[in-house]
Amino acid sequence: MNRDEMLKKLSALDFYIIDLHLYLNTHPTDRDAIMKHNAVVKEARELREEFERLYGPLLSYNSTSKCPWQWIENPWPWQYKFNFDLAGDDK
Amino acid sequence: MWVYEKKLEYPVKIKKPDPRMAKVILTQYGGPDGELAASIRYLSQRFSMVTPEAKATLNDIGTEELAHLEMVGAMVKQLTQGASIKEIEDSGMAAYYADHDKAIYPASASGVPFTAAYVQSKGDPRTDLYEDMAAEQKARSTYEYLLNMADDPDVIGPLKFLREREVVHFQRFGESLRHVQEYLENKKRYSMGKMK
Amino acid sequence: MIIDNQPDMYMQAAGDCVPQETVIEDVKLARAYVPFEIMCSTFMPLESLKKGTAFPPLYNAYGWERKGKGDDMYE
Repeated sequence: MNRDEMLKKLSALDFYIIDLHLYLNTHPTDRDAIMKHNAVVKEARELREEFERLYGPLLSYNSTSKCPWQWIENPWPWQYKFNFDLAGDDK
Repeated sequence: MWVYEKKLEYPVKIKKPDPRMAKVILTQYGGPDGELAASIRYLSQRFSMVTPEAKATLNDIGTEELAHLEMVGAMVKQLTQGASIKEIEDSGMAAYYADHDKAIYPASASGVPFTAAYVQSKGDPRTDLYEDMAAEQKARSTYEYLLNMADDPDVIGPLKFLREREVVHFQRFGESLRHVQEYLENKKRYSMGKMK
Repeated sequence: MIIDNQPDMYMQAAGDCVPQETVIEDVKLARAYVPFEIMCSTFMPLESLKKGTAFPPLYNAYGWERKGKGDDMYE
């Protein structure tokens, strides 16, 4: 997987987690939803570690750094070249 | 407290500058029904909520709105980057450019600077939740109007995503209202699991 | 990755699962009621990201379509 593919995969997993998280906030006893949520969290965790190992930190206050300090590196998320293709993907 | 994750919730990758769209999309940054209003509204109202479900919902949707604010800012930035002064002028952004160059500034599409008058934090959690439901509808409608004006798939993708999030947020606020109503009126907590 | 090869985890046979409350009891005047959603199946993560939600009944819940301006290249 190249960087864009990995970031796309991670963004997809993280988004799924976000939507399930909001659902669980109003459905705290939905066991099934909790199971799905936890399974995806575990997978996202692994993928995030792999991504960070290869391409630098994603979370502030959570990742170790090489020298020089990696956090500041370009590109930042609002820059064109940070992002992967999705919009034109298949509508 | 907040932790920042160095990626956008949904990618913004706009190849073609379009200051005309930048001008109107800015309204979801600093306008009356935009993401800054949404985040500060929910993050302020969360202190008044009375059930755990409602506190979590206000907290977490407020947080997600900050991520949307970031996306809108990124869209405006990419839409003006690389545009010539002539293109800026022809698109009606001359006044904004005079005050801000191509910077991102919280204002509406007509240039009105952001104000806390766009939000309320009324104390009564029911009142707040009704406002939140209305806010999500207004945001949804705004995204629909922006989408009607857009023709670039790179712009349409993120706008459609943001529009859909408003629908989901509305549903969650509606569910939170059910929890709060049940609690305040019947002194009971809903248990919403799977109904078999 | 593992998860993408297990579509069943996401799309469990909905069967007779209705993804929402259909009857609300004890409704009172001067109040609004939004029915609770109930999770039956979800989209896969990448599909969820593209659509803006993991929950099929919330996807385009209003059946809205972009008007477009007539001669644009998208639709």
